Amino acid sequence: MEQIHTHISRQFNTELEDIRSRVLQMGGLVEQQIEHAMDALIKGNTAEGEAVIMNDTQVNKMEVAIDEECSQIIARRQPAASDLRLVVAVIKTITDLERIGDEAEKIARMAVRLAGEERPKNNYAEIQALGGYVRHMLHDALDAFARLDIEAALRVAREDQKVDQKYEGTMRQLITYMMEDPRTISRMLNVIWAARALERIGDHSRNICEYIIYLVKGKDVRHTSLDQVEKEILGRANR
Amino acid sequence: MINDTIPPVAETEQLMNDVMPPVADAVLSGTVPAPIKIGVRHLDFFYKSFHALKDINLEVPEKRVTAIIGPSGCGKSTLLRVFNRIYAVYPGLKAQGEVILDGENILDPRYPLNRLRSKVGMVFQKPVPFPMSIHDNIAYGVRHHETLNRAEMDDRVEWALQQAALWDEVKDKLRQSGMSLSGGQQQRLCIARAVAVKPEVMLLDEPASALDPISTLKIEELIYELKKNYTIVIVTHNMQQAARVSDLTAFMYMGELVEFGDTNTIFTNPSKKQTEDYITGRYG
Repeated sequence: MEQIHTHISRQFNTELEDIRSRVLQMGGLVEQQIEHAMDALIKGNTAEGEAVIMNDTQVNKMEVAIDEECSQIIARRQPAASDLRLVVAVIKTITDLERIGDEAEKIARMAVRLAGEERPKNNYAEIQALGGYVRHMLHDALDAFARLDIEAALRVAREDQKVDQKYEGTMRQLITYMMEDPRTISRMLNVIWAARALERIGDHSRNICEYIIYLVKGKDVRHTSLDQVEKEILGRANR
Repeated sequence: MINDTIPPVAETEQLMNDVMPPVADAVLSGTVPAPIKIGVRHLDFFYKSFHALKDINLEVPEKRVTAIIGPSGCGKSTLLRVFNRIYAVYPGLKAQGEVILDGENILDPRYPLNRLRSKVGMVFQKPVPFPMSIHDNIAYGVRHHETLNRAEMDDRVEWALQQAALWDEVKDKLRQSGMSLSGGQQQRLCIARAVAVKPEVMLLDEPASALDPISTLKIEELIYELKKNYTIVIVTHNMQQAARVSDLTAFMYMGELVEFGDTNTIFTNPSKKQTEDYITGRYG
């Protein structure tokens, strides 16, 4: 785990700390959005779904505000090395967080649509599990960001493969339902949309983990296999 | 349909290469290795008993800008001054080790100082025009090394002033005193004076620290132009300036060379903690 050391300029230090904590704040809000959207879906709670849709503007506003703050830091402080990487990583992270917010909003829309329809006996158990898994993945990614913990980031990035597998499993299950009873097709299509949104949240969380590795190690690991990353990053002697 | 509109990958790569010739870019940005102009080997330097440079090993590539950064007193100006042996005018100063310029050790007392000074020019922090006309400021050094007739000398003066991007501003007042120019112009005059003797290496010691931002940018633009023909070593306190103008950056601390490498890497992902702390302002 790496620490951010104190700057000579206390004001600059405060600014950097501020964007970091605001990313975590935004992440917290996005996590909540996923939780409420899933809850609305499972319980058929229209009001909760609509609240999530409304709250997405809050997520968008946070993205714009943090972006603005990052531009100001670049213009006024000309950050270098780890400071520069922090600002770049923050700008990228909030883009993914905002998209996760959009996915949560999509799930909430599906929840509102499904609320009016007949509820299945298993209460959408198939995507409940996927939802829980993805939420944990995002939570752990944000935790790794807060602690600048690259080992945790790598671990979380690996989880994305499991999310993809679970998503495939969910899809197979949903297709089976539709084949068994074609009357469920329109309802199941909505569920498929929600499952797809969850799978995308897994991808965005993995991206965030890649930014953490870039931030801490200065290495861009996008489009690189995780095994390769692990060999290069963890195999390298600590400086 | 899709296949009709999107060229295959190989073609796309070809297109990219046509638009951005990779080799030329890499040469300009300094990513392709250049021949070594100055090789510093096990260099130690003493101000009487004070050990100012400790076992410096460094290779300055030809036609590149190499920046030396570090806190006050780290030895960066001292290192620069060894490159043209300007320290030799003061008693009690001693350099040990080797500084190889084009295969010859310039620290060898047999290496003629005149030849060294004609190959290695220097510009200082404070512009110091000689108390004579703009024309003579430039001709003065040239006369020391070469015998030119009047027309040749006029050509040389014009050429040097053009190299230093000053010609257009002074061409109508070449007989006026060099002291009458603004600070930024005076500094470019000093650069023209250094260029006029056609050196191969230019040493710039904080060349823009006494100038306003616009003059600073002009000097930086000039450095970018000059590196096409000269090997440039610049000492600067201004880290953003080092990041802007240099291809390679050396970070020094307490007389030691801590890290030396590609400027892009040093400013985004330095490998040494001391370098990181210095360039991010976490120093001290």
